[in-house]
Amino acid sequence: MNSQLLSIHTIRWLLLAVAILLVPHFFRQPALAAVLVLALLYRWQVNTKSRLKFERLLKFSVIFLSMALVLGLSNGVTVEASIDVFLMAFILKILELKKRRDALVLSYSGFFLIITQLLIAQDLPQILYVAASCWALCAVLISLHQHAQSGAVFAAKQSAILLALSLPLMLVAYVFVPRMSPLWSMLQVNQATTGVGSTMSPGDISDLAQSNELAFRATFFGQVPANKDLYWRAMVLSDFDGRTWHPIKKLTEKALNTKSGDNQKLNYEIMVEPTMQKFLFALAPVAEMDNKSIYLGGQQVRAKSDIDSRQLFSFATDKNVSKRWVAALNNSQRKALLDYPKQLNIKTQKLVQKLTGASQGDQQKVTDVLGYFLEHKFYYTLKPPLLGKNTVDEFIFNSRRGFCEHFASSFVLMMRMAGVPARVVVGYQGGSINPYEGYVVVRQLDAHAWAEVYVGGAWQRVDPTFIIAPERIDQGSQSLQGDPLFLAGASLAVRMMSRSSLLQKLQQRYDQLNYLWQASVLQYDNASQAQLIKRWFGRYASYAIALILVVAVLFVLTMLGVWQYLSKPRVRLSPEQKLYRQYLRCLKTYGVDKQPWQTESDVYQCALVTLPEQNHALLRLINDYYIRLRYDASLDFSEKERLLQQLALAIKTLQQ
Amino acid sequence: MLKQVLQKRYQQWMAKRLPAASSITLHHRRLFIVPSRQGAYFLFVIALIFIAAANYQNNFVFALAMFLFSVFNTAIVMTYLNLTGLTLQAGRCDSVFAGEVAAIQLHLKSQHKTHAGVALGFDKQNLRSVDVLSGQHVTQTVVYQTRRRGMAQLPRLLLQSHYPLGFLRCWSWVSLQKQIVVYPKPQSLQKTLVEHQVSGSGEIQLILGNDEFEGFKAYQAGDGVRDIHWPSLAKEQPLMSKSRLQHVDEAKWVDWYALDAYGLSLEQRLSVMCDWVLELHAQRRSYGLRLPNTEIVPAQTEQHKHAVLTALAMY
Repeated sequence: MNSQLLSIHTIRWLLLAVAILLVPHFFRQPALAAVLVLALLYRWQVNTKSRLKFERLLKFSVIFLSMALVLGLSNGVTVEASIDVFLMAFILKILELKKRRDALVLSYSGFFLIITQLLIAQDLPQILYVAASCWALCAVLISLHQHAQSGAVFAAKQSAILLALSLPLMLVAYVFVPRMSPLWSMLQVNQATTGVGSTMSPGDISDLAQSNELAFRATFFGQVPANKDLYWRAMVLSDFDGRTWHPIKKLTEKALNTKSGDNQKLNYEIMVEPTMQKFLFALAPVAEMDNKSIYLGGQQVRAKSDIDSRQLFSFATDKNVSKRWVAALNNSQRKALLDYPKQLNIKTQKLVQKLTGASQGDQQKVTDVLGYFLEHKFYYTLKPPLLGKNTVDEFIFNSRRGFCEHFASSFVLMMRMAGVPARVVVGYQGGSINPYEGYVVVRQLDAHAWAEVYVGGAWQRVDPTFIIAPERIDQGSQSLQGDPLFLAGASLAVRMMSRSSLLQKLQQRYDQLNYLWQASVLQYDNASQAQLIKRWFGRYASYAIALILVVAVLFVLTMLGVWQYLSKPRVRLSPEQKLYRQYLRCLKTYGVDKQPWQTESDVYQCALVTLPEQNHALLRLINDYYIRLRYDASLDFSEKERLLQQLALAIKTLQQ
Repeated sequence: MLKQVLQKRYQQWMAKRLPAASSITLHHRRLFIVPSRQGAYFLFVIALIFIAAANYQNNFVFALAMFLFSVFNTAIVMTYLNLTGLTLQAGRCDSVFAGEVAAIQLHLKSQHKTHAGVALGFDKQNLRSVDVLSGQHVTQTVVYQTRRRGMAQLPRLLLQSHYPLGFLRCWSWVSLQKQIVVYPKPQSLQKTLVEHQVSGSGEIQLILGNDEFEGFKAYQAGDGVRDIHWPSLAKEQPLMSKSRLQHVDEAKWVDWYALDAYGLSLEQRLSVMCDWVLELHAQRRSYGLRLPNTEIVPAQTEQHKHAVLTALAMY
């Protein structure tokens, strides 16, 4: 059977399935599209009568191209590279699609290939992808096992029915089948992601502001804090080399701020998009966190492992989100937080001395330096001029145009020059609330940098951007609407979306759906499963799962059987047919068995031979009545009634 | 020994479970279903997907694995439902000579659904597949290699389907009540004697001898090829054929006792007699049959030939 050649139907279905399977990969690796098109062209012309003259050339170009592509995957052994190699082999298999076995190999690996896309993306549209792929692959298998008469439309329909019928059991299984923990560690999927990096140089954050990509979503269990209080901390940077800020090892605030009582806590969850990094985004002060994350100090939290897929983390902060929290600072920490390259930015050092020379206490110094930013005209722009060696000098005295990182960086430096411990914090500010689900959506364009100063035994948040461009904090990133570079990196659709309110609403709806899909379906893990089952079944949980799965399988099988039975068109028997059946049953006891090909007269003849003489008159009556009732169209209603009664009587007599 | 006992038990069980009938509609008690090798491979693919899901802790991939498993489960039902309700009936089957291949027509009837990829045959190696569309009826010919003469009951017929996905094999051994008359294998006396090295091969003509030569007559369509006088054709004269003195009333007898002298076995005797019947029938002669227990009066029709050959087959 394996040596059978493939029918044209099967080949067409296979080519369709391969195309569907590969479509989403084209966006990631466009070269695949070229290889696929050539391979499909080759396979298609093999089946047409007029084979192309350059058939061989075509075949070799496919092979050559795919080899070049595989060699070109120079990023080392990554998941993407392995996927590409696998896909390439998959496409090359089309070239030698001849026998039944080839089709089986191709469709079975097709089922497996679906997961490559699911490793890369898990959002809502992927459901469509999975459904379409499974549909086409099942149609391939169906076309392999049907004979030609029933045709392609039949295969398409049957495949759809098969998948639809499979849904209920899948849902039950998804809820109740325990998840396995990883057997061995795998190469992780690397995706080109945008987001905050581990250092900050001028221009880093303004680049982010050009992207509309989702960073994370936050759901508050309680009153959502005002937008101006939402300072999502990603990392604290305390070491400045004259251009770039780096994190330092000597971190302050080693312990969680657990002083506030439970009723003072504001719990919230963040669902982070994959970043391939460990950064998490928490509000200061951090009061509580889940076991998937660790506390780093300096009010920073990190995930325990790289975030390679959307993940949910839960934290708590103080209900009264404040700009100030008490913390201790020892001498070495203090020294590190006052350090700056002394030989750079001489003009600024002089300026700071002039500004704060007469200040009374640290708080006064903060106000005085901020006052300088207020008094002089600074511009908040996405496209600040490039800065040279003395970045802060050039910014303060020459360009006076900058994005939040410029303001934060120069303000922190000036505070250090004035002798106040200070640090830069990078993260996101604000976000937009989804009106349908009530969660806060934070996008890359909400990336922000601000300053924190240590005054009077407590850390205090100071956002110089708020002084210079208060609308940035009040209205969020939308205040940059007029800037030609705002969302420059995003597609036209996204830019239009940010202007039209209807599109925005649709977009919010879509985001809500996606969020619900993520939060309630994809985040359904072992823990939530255990919780659910415990809530339903208490301590009999493990028996319950086994029982439910068995019952579900049986139920589905039974339902299909019942459905089959019900969908059978019933043959409705007329009254005389029912009587005739009785008669036949009676005859059977005498040994006269009506065969399917026999007519009523045949039965009558047989009965005459078999049955004793005294019944013959009765037999003739029954036969005549029945034939009249069944075939005489001229009978009126009352006549029919009368004949029926007589027929019934005759049969009854015969039975006795 | 044990194998034989088991085999016998199995046959008995089958005969009880799937009794022979002239028309058989498949239903759950008549069908067997087990996963095929392809199904095992598919389960293996599901296992791979499940492992990938675990290793990447990817719930979407978990869902996919469960979905494919559910598809497998649905396939069980669909494979089985594909065959239920299909009605089989044995149709025409021409009688054949022993050792020949009998072509039996089978009528497959669908009531209200399409039965796709239904394969039919007497053993797994020789199956022919067909789709029976909803409400239609299809005639499929299966071939059966006959061995011995006699009245053969149509052996159990394998009916199987892998439809829709090939993960399962659903089959039934259908026993249709259908008799096939297998005539003895014709063999000329001469050949039989040579094969068995019995002397006296010269006398065959004597027994089945042609009628005496009478003269020539003008060729008529239907004259035997042997009787045509070919030299007349070569001489470009009108075609002539030999006219024989036909003893119409003196019908030939295919006689069991005429072969007494040769010491042939029963089967050999019947084969030779069968050969004579064919020969006589080809010559459009009237002939009768004489067997120790039967006698059929001479005639010269197709039905007569069938009756005579059947008598030989059943002897």
